[in-house]
Amino acid sequence: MSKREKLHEWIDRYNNRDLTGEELAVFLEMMNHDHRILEEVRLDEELNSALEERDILDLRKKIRKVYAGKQVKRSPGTRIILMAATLLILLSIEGVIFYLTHSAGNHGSPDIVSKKITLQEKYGGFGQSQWNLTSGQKVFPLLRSDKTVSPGIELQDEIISFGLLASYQPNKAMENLIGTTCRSGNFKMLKSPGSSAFSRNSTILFSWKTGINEETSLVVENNTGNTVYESVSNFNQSVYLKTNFLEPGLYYYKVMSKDEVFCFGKFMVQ
Amino acid sequence: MIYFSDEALLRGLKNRRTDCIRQLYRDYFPLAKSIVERNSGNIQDAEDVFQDGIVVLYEKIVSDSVSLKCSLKTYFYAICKNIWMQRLDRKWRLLYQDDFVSEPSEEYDPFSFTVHEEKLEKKRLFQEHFLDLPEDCQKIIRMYLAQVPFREIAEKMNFKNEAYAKTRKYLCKNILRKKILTDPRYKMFIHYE
Repeated sequence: MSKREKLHEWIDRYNNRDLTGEELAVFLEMMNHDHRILEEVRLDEELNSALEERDILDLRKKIRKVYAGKQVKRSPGTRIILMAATLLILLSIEGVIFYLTHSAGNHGSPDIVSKKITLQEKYGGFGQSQWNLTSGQKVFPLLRSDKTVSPGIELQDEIISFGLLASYQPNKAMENLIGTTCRSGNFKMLKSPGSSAFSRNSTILFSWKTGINEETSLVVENNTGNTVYESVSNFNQSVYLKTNFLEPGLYYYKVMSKDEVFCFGKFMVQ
Repeated sequence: MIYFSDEALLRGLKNRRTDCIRQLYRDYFPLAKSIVERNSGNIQDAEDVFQDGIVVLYEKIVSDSVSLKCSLKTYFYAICKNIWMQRLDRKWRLLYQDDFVSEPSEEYDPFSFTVHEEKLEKKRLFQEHFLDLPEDCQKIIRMYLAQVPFREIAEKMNFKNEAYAKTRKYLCKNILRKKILTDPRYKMFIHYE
């Protein structure tokens, strides 16, 4: 036992009223001569009394959980303004697309999707697959290519880029939590997406170790804080997540036990 | 979504129900935030004040000393304002020490609360650092404080012997002690005393 460990054993015993006789006399003498020992004794006493309040500790743990899951709340007024603004933007986009489609002239009046495919084919697109040709579904990539396109095309490109902002918009509250606690104590994230972007038919491996034997689970939320996936809580400490059910966008994940969140992170689905 | 009445919220908080805490946060956190932000504080201060306010309310419920003559919201507002005004006062006094403040100011006390703001902050600091410890350290310290013999701690934690359990307890407490002593908020307490 080291000298320091011995001293702390005495402090413990002193605070537990367990130190008597000669030992107590020696210890009191030490405290009189060294104010640092006196401070340690005081700190230890206060610490013990704070940690004995198990109910308050449990309450704080729950408040922390609520803080961790908090999202940017908007007032009803703000929500109405945002909805109105979104509607206005959608109408403007429709208007511009209508204008572009009808001003093309020499193709008669092709439908909007086929027009876009034509542009895509002609100018090589803005990134990876823009359009799902079989379903006609839009798949928005994050990155734009450096290809120079005509002003009309750039305008449409801007519109499309604007459309993808919402589901990729970072959630400030979650962003602040990323990386916290991932390497604290015995917890270690062994395999994580590491802020990467995945296609919609990928499988992402999450793997971690907690150092203690307890049930853990993986929770995935979208950028508005809605839970889109939660694994069964078990002792496995790894999850294979298929992305085919996830819409393109930004996602946040957390590894948690019944009482504690161990790690936050994010990834993207394109 | 269930919406709790004031009485249900008090009962729920007494049992530390997460859904009640969530409703308190949703409905009352903006109050704490407005008090703090209107009086030179930031969002972190607001979160601390809200947490302390919940702890004060919980302690009052547990000790049966809540007598609501107004809405719970008004009551909670008064608790938070009391905490923040005292805290602000302490921080100013700390900043300007003997320059121009000579007498302790009266505490803001519209409901005759006895809130020891400084003790609250110190306790929060200790408990937060404790909750940041690894789970096994928390368990060892909890068992030690509950006076579980080291032999039993060793058995429960699968340690090879009693001596090792003692060493682990010392190491865990030492981590905690170091975290607290290096926290700038704790240094403020030392200087103030």
